Amino acid sequence: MKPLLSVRDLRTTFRTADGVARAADGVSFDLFPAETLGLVGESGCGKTVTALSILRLIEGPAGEIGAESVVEYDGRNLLQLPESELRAVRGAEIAMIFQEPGASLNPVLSVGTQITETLLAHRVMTRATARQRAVELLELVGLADAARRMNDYPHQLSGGMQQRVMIAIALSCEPRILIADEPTTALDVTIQAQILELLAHLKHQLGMAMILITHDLGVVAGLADRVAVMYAGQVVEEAPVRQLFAAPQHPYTEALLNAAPRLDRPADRLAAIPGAVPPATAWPEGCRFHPRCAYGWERCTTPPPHLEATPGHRARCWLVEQPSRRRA
Amino acid sequence: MVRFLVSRLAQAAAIVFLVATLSFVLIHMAPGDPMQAMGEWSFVSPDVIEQQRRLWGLDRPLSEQYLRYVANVARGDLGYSFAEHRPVAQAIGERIPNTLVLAVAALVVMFGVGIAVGALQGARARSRLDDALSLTTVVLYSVPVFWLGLVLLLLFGQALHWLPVGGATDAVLHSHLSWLGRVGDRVRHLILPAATLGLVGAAGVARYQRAAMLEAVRQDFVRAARAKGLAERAVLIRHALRTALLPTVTLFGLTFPLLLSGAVLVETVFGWPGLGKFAVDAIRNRDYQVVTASAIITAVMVTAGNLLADVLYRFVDPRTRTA
Amino acid sequence: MPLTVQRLLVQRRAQAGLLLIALLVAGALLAPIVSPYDPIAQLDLEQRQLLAPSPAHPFGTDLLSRDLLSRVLFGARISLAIAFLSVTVSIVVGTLVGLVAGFAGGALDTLAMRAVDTALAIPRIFLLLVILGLWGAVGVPVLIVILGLTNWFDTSRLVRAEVLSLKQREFVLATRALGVGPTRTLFGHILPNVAAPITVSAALGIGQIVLVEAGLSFLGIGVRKPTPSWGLMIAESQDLMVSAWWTVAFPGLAIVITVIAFSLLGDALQAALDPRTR
Repeated sequence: MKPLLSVRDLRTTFRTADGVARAADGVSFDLFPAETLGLVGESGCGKTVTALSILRLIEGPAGEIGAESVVEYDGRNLLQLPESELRAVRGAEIAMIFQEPGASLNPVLSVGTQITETLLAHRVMTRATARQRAVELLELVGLADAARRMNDYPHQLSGGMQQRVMIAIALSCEPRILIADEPTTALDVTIQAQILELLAHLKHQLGMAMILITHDLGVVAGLADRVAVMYAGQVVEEAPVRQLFAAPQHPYTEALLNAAPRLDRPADRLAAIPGAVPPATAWPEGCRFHPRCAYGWERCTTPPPHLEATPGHRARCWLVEQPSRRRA
Repeated sequence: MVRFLVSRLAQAAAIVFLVATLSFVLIHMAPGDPMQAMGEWSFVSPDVIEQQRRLWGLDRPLSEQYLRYVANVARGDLGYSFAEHRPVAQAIGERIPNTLVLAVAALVVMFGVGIAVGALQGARARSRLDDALSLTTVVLYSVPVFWLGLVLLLLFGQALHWLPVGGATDAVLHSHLSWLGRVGDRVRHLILPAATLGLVGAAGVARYQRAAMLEAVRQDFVRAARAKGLAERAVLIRHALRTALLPTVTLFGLTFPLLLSGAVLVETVFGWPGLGKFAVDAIRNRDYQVVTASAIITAVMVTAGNLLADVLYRFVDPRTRTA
Repeated sequence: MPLTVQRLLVQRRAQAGLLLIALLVAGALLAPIVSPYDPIAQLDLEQRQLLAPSPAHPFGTDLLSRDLLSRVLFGARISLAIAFLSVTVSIVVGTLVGLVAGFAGGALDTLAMRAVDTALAIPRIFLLLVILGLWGAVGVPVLIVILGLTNWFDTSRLVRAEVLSLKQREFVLATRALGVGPTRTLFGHILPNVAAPITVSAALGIGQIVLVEAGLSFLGIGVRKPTPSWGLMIAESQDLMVSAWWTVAFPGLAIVITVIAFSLLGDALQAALDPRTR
């Protein structure tokens, strides 16, 4: 099956006071039609930057996407498209929802206006039709009293409702891919569950592919078909979700799984990963996780490429070739 | 909304009352008899002087004078102008429309030019255009308004002869012109004074608007708007500028005192027959009641302007309307 | 503190502003030594009236055959002295009022803020017209005091706002818990934190006062003749503008350059103290 979206060797850098931050440093993954890919990692690993880079939302002059990077969609490299063609893709074919729904909605425009403007930007229809469609969308995302909500302003809605509006906007033109950047992180736990359920339901109904970005492994376990784990600006492991949880190949993934508290394994202390994430201006030489890794040995000074453990499951770790080194 | 209006009106009335009080205090703190001007005017009849003394209660204790003063002001009696031999209220009343016209015209220039320049700078931040415009605004901001007036007068009035060199209307021709001609004449005379007053203010507004625009463009919702695939122009104008205008609307109210202050100088330079020029002339003529009355009247204008600006702001920012 | 100074000095506009200010202050202080002529001496009413700029008179001469360069230099003394001194007065008064009002709160605060609102309702020039009109011709010292006392309102508001926000912060509560008296808290702890906005206010204020004083002198109620003040010089020469442009141009340029210098410094200070506004 041909991938719907193919990200190859994505490099995004930012010029900062402390030097050049290589936020995304050779990120590659594929997204297949109607699947949910979970993009997992701690803060600072480059997952949001990757998402923004796909739609070329990186702000110059400080931010820059490398010239050799490729984001292939529909046979075209999005990173090289002229602005007008890219605009046709944004919002209509690939849509994005953000972490803080309150901040991502314009405070002085009504909810209805923000939905209709997307519709009118991409489709030919009358304003009245657009408004009608907007009401339908609000109902689709489970907003009660949709017709009245059209005239409300974002500050009048709760966090969960704001996120539903964002989802409505994103889905308005029936995109083939939805990029959801930490869609529930800023919400209360109970609301989180509702929104995730909504996303799962809509995804299924509309046959969309989704890139779900999160630091929460629980979210991934519930929704994703495949998972890509990111560390220090790179994808370090990629696998179908069950395999990732059952047999993680990369020590970082293993450590993340161990660090998460579990009901079936009560522990006196949570297992933290020793050390800290290095700054993006100074990634370590060789394998980037090497300084914090429990298994590291001399070979790790050479940066490992993606090695395939089983079909569809690969990791950037020499342990794939030398599994005997995996001590208990 | 109604409750808001009522409370603000009450506040406004309180401020005007306090301004009148301040006026009274200043009059009585000044050296000499508050009505000292009367002694200087040898051709004012003693009856008028006596009438004024009684009206203002100068032979009564201070507290009673104060009450009389406030009561008079509240009634609209602002004293007597010895230079013009008529009540101050009347004399000022004739000048106010001229100052208002000048102020409003300057306001339009100020915000029209200021917002456009500032928004442009914000959208093209740190480009060469931005740097050039920043330099221009810093210079304009630092120019004394009366000097700018003289320079423009020299250039457009005396050197190029494109525009008239003073007054609100042509002294000779105005009454002989048709209705349309008279409007045109007034407009021609308004251009330089309004431009002078407006440009200096525009520089300040542009600086403010640039900062607001820079702030707005960084907001998450601007990025979200771009992610929706909207045209860049829609993103900048409908999303960034629309929110960047909010702080500038608050600036609106703050500009009234500055406009009126500037008007005094501009009116003097251009011989514009407004309240400012009247007050300055009154100082020269030692017509003090005109001077204090003009302070009270301008305070009223500023307060009224602030009230209007507050209402406008509530209208423009939906977050202030609910709750 | 040194970090802020570093952040300040690295900006080109701060360097430009400080350079200009240094030149102006030097010119003002050295005026008696550097001026070619006595600023109020009428040199030769027959031969030297209204001369265009020349090597003998780099800025030309005015109607009364006074050398304009000397007058501009001495004008710098007057205008800068008035500006620095009156801004000092207004900063001191404004800071005191703001500190007390913000810290004490309650009736004192309300009283102070109502007074400030009232004064701010009258456009500044009209307030000055009333005071200067009623008091008549005042000397420069009294003018300085009057300008200082009519200019502190914005500073007091600024300081009060800072104090109010600081009051909420833990370290103030902590000092109270330790039994530190209100005066010491006010001056020892809160004042240092307020120093930053006050400095910006002062720098920008100097430029503003130069403009206000020039305006008043232009109207004839500020600095009185024959003391050279740039605003007064412009007023005296306005009718001669067409034939003798230098009599109006040079004093005006002097004002513009002075105000630009302090505006640049004030802007740079603000940027150094709050990196977000870059």
